[in-house]
This record gives sequence, C-alpha cells and structure tokens, in this order.
Amino acid sequence: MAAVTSNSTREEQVKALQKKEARRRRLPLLPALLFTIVVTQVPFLMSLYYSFTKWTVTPPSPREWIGIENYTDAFTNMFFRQAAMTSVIMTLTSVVLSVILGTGVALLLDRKFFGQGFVRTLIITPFLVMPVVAGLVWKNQMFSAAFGVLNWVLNQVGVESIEFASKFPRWSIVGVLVWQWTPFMMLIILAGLQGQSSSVIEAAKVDGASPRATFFQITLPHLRPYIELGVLLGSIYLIQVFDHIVVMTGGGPGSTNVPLFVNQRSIGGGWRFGSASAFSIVVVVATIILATFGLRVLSGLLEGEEAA
Amino acid sequence: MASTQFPGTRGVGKAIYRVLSGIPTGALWFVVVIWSIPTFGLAVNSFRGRDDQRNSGWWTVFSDEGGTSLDNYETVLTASSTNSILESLANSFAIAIPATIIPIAIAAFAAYGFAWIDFKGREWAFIATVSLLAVPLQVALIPLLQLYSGGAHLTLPLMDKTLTLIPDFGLAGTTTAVWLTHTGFGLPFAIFLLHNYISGLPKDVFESARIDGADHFTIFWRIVLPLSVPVLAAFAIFQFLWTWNDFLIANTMIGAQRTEQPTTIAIANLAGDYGRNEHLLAAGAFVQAFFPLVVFFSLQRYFVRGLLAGSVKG
Repeated sequence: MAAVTSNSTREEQVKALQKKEARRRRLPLLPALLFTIVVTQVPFLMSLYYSFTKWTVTPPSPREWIGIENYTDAFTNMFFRQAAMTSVIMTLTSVVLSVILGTGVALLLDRKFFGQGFVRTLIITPFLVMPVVAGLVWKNQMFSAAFGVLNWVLNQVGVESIEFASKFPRWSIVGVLVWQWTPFMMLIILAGLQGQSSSVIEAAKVDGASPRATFFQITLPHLRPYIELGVLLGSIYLIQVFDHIVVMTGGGPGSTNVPLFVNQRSIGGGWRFGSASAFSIVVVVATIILATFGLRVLSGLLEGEEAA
Repeated sequence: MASTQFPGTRGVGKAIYRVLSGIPTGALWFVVVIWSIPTFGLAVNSFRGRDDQRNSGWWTVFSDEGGTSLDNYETVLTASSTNSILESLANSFAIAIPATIIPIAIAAFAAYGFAWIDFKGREWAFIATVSLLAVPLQVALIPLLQLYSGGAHLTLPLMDKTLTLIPDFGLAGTTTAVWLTHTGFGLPFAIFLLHNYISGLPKDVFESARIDGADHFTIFWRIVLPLSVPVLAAFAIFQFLWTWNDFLIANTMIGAQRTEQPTTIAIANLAGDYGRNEHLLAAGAFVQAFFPLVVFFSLQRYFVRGLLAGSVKG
C-alpha cells in the first residue's frame, strides 16, 4: 500500500487511533458483561448470603443469621461426603470410558467405506436423545429384569435375570452416560484423526514402525489436544448430571450425586434453602480448586494468544 | 478380484489380507448395532400397543403376531386434556429459541470484547466469568426462583424501609422464567467457546479495519460475525440440545403448571401417572427428538469445526 518511508507515520496514526478509541473500547463490552454478571454472579452471591442463614420455606419460618453453622454441618454430613464421592467417580469413569470408546470408534470410522454417512448418523443419535428418555429407555428396555435386552441375552446363555438399575445403580447410570457421550468424543477425535497428515504416517511405515508403535508414538500425541478438549467439555456437562439419575434410580444407593443431593435438600422436598445453599457453596469452592487444572489450560491459551 | 484366478501362495496371502482388512468394518458394524439397540427398541415400541408393551419385550414383535400401528403417534399428536405433547412442543420452542439466540448475541459481543479490546483486568474478568461453569445449577435455582416469584427487595438495616430492587414480574411458572434462566447459565460456556474462536482470528484483519476508520461495532458486525459462523453454529447446537432436552430447570420453574410445560416434563409425566400413559412414551420421545435431529444434522458440518477452532492448535 503506502511507501516504506511512510511507515513511521502510519504507526503513529495507528497509535493515535488506538488512544482515541481507548474510551470507546469498553463500550460494546459493558452491556454484555453487565448482563453476564447480573444473571450469573448475583444468584451466586445471594446463595452465599443464604448459606449463612437458617431458612426453611416449608413450614415457613423467618430467615435468621446463624453464621457458619451450615458449613460445619456440611463438613460433618456423611451423606454429603458420599454424594461428593459419587459425583467425582461418576464423572471420571464416564468421561474416561467414553473417551476410550470414542477413540476406538473414531479409529474404525477414519476410512472410506460403504455406508459411512449412515453409520455416523446411527452412532451420533444417542447424543441427541433427551436425558429423561435415555434413562427410561435403558431402565425399561435394557436393564429391566422383565423386558430388558441385557437380561434376555443373559437368559439365552443360562444366567438368571438381574434388575441392573436397582442392583448396580451407580454403574447403570454410568453405562447410560457412556452410551450418550461416546458419540460426542468420537466426533471430536475423528476430527483430530482427519487432521493428521498422511505423510507422517507413511514415513513411519517406510521406517518400519509397527502399527502399534505408530499409534502410540505418533497418532496419540497428535490426538492429545483433541482428547483434552473432549475431556474438558464432557466434564463440564457430566458434573451436572441430574435427569438420568432422577428417572433411573431416584438417587438409590450409591447413585446420589451432588446436584441430586442439593436438589433433595431444597426444591425437591427438603425446603431447607439455607443449608442447601451452604452445600452448593462448598461444591463451588471445591470445584474451583479442582478445576485449577482446567483454568491453567485456559490461562495457557491466553498466554499463547499474546505470544502469537 | 483377479487373485482368485491365480491359485498359489500369492492368492492365499491376498485372501487372508482381504479377510483381515475386513475386520475393522465388521467391528464397526458390530459397534453400530450394539449402540443402536436402545434407540431401535424405542422405535419398535413406539409402534406397539399398550398391552403389547406391558406384556413382552420389544423384540417379540419379530416372532409373534404382536402387530404394529400408528395409534400411539396419533394419540400423541392429537392435543387433548389428558396428553399435551403437541401443546408442550410449542412451549419447548418458546423456551429453546430465545434461550439459544439471546446468549449467542450477548456472548459474541462479550467474547469480542475479551479477545480484542484492551482494558484493565481483562484476563481476571474473563476467568471470573468462565469459572462460573463450575457452579452447580441447583445453587442458583433457589435464589432465581425467589426472584421470579417475588422480585428482589432490600430491607435497609436500622431504618424500617424496604427498597424494591426488582419488581415482581410474575414470572414464576412461565416459559419466560425458564429461558431467562437458560440464558444466564448458557453465558459462561458461550463466552468460553466464542472467545477461543474469536481470539484466534488473524490480527491483521482488525488492524487494517481500524486504520480504515471502522469502529468496534462495525468491525464486530461486518468482520467478526461473518467469520465466526462455525463457532456460533457449534454453540447453537449445544445450547439448543441442552435447553430442548432440559428437565431440571423447567421442572423447577414450571413444575405442575400444565399449560406452560415443555415436552420434557410432558414426557416424564407419561412415565409417572402410575403408568397410565406410559405406552405413549416412546412415540412422544420420537416426536420430541425430531427437532434436535434436524438442528444437529443441518448444522453438523460446523459443529466440530467450531468446537475445535481456537482450542486445538495446528
């Protein structure tokens, strides 16, 4: 565009413009940011306040300030600790299993073959099924002792029927979650596989690397960021799992996670909003500590972007 | 192919090779069949009558003369006082559409701000916003329900005076309360996803636009939005699925208010009611799942691209 000599003036121009804009810069951000803060932070702050009060809605009683009593209760409450453990175990196992299975399916799909589109569609469909229905389908048509496919198969090989959902409540739910989330992981990892340059793989083949070595030393490292993204997005959603549990076990032994526990204590019938708020605040703080890993990834992204 | 015409070791090798290379496809079809059994069973049951569903598993349809019909779909799609799937579909749209579009509009602006406008405390504000992803919904539901059903009032200590910060809009039990809540909960994730993408757009574009005298609004409207279509679509899919399939928030905000219930509650109620209408569940579920399927498969090509761009380098 301009000649080389005008470079300095151009830079000055840029600087002047940027300064002039400095005030206007925040303008487009403000309404969006304000709204975000109001709808997300304000309810959180209100919960924080409620957590220091004794507040029961049914039977109605006045809200009174009781300090940290709710918190000491939360830490000594055995059921709450169990719910927290359940949350961690459920989220971890379902994320890990769906990543492993998703990688497997993605590897199988990463080829050209007849009926590719059809197969992809069939595999993705569970991801789109509504959680309440997914839970009920598995409970009534897969796990059920009377009309469950799994039990039908067991009967064929001479094993007695098992009512899976009540016998193994936690693992039944994990099974449904894996069924729904494997397709999602598959989508992300398949994109990773398709982004891999074929020349690298061919070079490895020429150098005499076994398919196994190629997978573990070339493909898997290449897939790492994709797997991390899948784990991150999966955890964000799976930590909030609620609907599946309500319809499948109603929180039966070993399947009450934190959302369900908090729900039982508050809007689901306990109506003790003060203490339920305290439980939630504990969870938030714990999650933020645990999520330091996730945040580090985030700030890593921020730094990377500034370096670029 | 030609190898069959040449008997000998080479032909055998080729045959073995062909069998071996067929294994992945076989394994794939195996996985597909296993993965589709629940959906397939649901599909079969949606065509079976109430008594059939109660007395036998769905696979007996292939051996017995169970008989299939479209009766369930007919019942589900004809609105009546006992079942309200059709009516609830309208409610679901009244929730899912604003709850998808509004967060996108706000978050796109905010994400652009976080990515390309320098201001003090930018990173801090960004992390504070995104870390709200960790908040369990249930915490905020209680205060929100309070807000919707009574507004917000602040009683000043020492003075016997109550200020009304937010008046009571009478939102409790309406679809408005549900999409407002979804909008709030959708924002942190929207900002996270959109920021990843928008911050990865080439810097030169913005600088030359600025030199040409474009203000932020113009840059956002004319450059950022058109370039961000994949990530906007990816988020739209996520958010639409989440809000369309949500049970918890709708149940908290609307509960037993029949006229305002989305499909999720209507369908869950089919399973309740002492199983009186449980045979309609499968058909209802397919009617309900039709719209997410359309949304997903029409925007599918953007989905993965939008999720990956920005968060995965290279």
